[in-house]
Amino acid sequence: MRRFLIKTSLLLLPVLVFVVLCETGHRTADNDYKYKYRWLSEHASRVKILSLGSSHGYQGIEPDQFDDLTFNAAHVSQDLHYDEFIFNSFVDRMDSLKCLILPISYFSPWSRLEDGLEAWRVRRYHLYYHYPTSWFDPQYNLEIYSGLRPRTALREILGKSNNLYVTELGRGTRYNKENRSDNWKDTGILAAERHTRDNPDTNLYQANLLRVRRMIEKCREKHADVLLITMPAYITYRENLKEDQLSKAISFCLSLKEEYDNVYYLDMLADPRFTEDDFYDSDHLNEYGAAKLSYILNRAIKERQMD
Amino acid sequence: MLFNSIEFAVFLPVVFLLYWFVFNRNLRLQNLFVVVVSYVFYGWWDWRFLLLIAFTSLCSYVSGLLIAKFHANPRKAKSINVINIVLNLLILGVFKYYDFFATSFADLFLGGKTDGILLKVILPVGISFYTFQALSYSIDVYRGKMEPTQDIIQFFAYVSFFPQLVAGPIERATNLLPQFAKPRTFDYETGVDGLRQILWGLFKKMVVADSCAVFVDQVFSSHQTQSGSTLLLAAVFFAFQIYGDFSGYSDIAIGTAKLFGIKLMRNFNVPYFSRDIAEFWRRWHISLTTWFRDYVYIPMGGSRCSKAKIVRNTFTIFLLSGFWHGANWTFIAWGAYHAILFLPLILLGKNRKYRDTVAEGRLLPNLKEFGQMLLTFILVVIGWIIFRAESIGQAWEYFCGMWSWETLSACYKFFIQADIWKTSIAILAMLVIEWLSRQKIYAFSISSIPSPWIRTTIYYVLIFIILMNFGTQQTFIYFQF
Repeated sequence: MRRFLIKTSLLLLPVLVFVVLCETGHRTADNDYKYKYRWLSEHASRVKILSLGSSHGYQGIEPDQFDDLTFNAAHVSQDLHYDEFIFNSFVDRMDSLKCLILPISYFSPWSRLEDGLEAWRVRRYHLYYHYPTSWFDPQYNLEIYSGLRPRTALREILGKSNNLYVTELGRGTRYNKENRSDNWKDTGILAAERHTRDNPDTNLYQANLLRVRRMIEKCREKHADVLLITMPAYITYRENLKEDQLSKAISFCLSLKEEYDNVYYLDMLADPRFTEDDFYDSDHLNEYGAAKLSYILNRAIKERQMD
Repeated sequence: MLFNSIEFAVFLPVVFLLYWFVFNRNLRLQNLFVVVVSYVFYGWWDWRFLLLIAFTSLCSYVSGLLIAKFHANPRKAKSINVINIVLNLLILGVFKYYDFFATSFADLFLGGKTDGILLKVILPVGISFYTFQALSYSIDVYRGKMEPTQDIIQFFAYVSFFPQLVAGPIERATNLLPQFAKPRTFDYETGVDGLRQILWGLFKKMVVADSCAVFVDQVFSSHQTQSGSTLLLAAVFFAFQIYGDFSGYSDIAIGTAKLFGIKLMRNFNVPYFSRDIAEFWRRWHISLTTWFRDYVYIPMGGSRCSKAKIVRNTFTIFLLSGFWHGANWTFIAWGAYHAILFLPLILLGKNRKYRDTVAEGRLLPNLKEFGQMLLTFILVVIGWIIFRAESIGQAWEYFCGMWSWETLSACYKFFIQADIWKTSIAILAMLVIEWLSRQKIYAFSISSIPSPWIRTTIYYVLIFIILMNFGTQQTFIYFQF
């Protein structure tokens, strides 16, 4: 037995070192989550406009277009639960907050990050935003759970690579016009299908409504407004949406607007000002679309403040 | 808990050390430890599953005792055995087949409306495996093949032994239970052999099967838009996916059991080197095939009866085998397809023609043997299309689509784009290694290589390749069965 244990340990030791090095590499490198958490930790008190949401907001809100200091704290597939978590993590320090921009997409009221293909991102919130999950479950605690990727890890350790794909103020940089695929319009059918819920979970809808209410109330305490927005989408996406789900998603926003005086809502889903040139794919804006939308939002926020 | 997970990589060494260093002094305590860790392993998916396995184990344990008690009264003993079988099959039926029957009933008589008649219960992982294992015990006790165990812990350890709990091999009480009745000692060579077999199983699962899965899933989900050659390639890849997946699991299970001083039965014996379908079924999922042979086929008369009964018996076990895999008409059709292929061989008395290993004592097969293996493989691949499809309709569409050869270039394009070549190399490597060691107990049995340096290098190469494929973790196909 002793011989077995010694030989096996000696054989596996280099493997273990290799695995630890890979994990260290992935943890060392910068990524969107780490960067945004750090930025908010340092500048929360100066932020006047905070934008949350999923990839629609992550790609579609360009903070540079706002007159006031704006930060985009959205992430791919970020649902309202994680929106609230991020908001709560920093709200007490946000003394200058004037407006919270909350994109409510066609799928938002029924979305749970844990249910989809992007569930692995829970780990990122846990590791970099200190989101509480199981301390012993490796899927939430180890970056290598999604793959060892030793070549990337080595480059990361040497400081020659990072996973940062955001601008200084948090907008995603990957969905740009020059990266757009030739068949980007065709993505509408699949995206709409992916976002449509066959049996919408009414409990989740109510829970998400409560989450947004709590955020609105905290904003009210800080004399800040909440701007709910349905993001622009291309016709190939829009025409494949289920009418019933879409109207429920819109009434989600309208009911909140009715209920609270610090809430306003912009439905820009089919806004004619957005043309083919503004999209990365059927449901995400590119850098031009993001600039255009953010310019419009900035104006709307200004007008609201003057009122 | 999956074998190819970080959780298991931590679980296994901890359990191994506790098993040999803390609980080895007392056999009963060691068996109790096996039960506890097996329940932890199984409960990792969902703790509610534990109630079912405990109930199944208890039923078979009590049945064994009662059958022995009423040994002098065959009618009573038979009744107890039948009650236990019915109870176990009822549980299996409710959890695995109820919704299937309800949906089929609704399709036939209610115009497809299933409102309010479906249970929609989660299928407990590996329920078919442990149910069959538990049943084999009470049947063997009833048949007088073995004495019932008085030790409930031993019996629970037999049903729940974690390496083979969720996807086999489906062990026989006559083989596994006595191993829990006597003290185990650690043997260095067996331990090393176990680790090697685990490594080989991980290679088959994580490198071959999981790589194939990416391509196969993509093609099967969009088969209407794929070229014939792409469909054919995906069907072949699925054959290797399911083999790598399932035989990989069996290798890990058998290897892990060896670390604990337990010998499990062999479950696969290079099935794709078979020269006819009968040989294929002697080499594929051996533990299930022999289970059906011993507990269904032979009691029905086997092949020692009239031709009409042989046809009936053959169809019965193949249909049952298909249905065992899942509640879908595709599995039943797959079973029927294999019955049709098997029937001519058994009726002509040629089903036992190839009991040896192909090209024994030679490096390469002759042309005839190669042709036989290729033909058998093609027939098996056609069966896998039925098995993998969501419905009979999809299987038919898929099969018809394979004959549109006008777009061979599409397959070539796919090959380049989707890194299929890497998967092909992995498959080829697996086939070469399995061919070269087709007469050994398992393919990666390299203890005959004299140089420890060469052996160590081979280990590291294999570990490195496996680690490179870590992270796209996929569950094992056979868990759903």
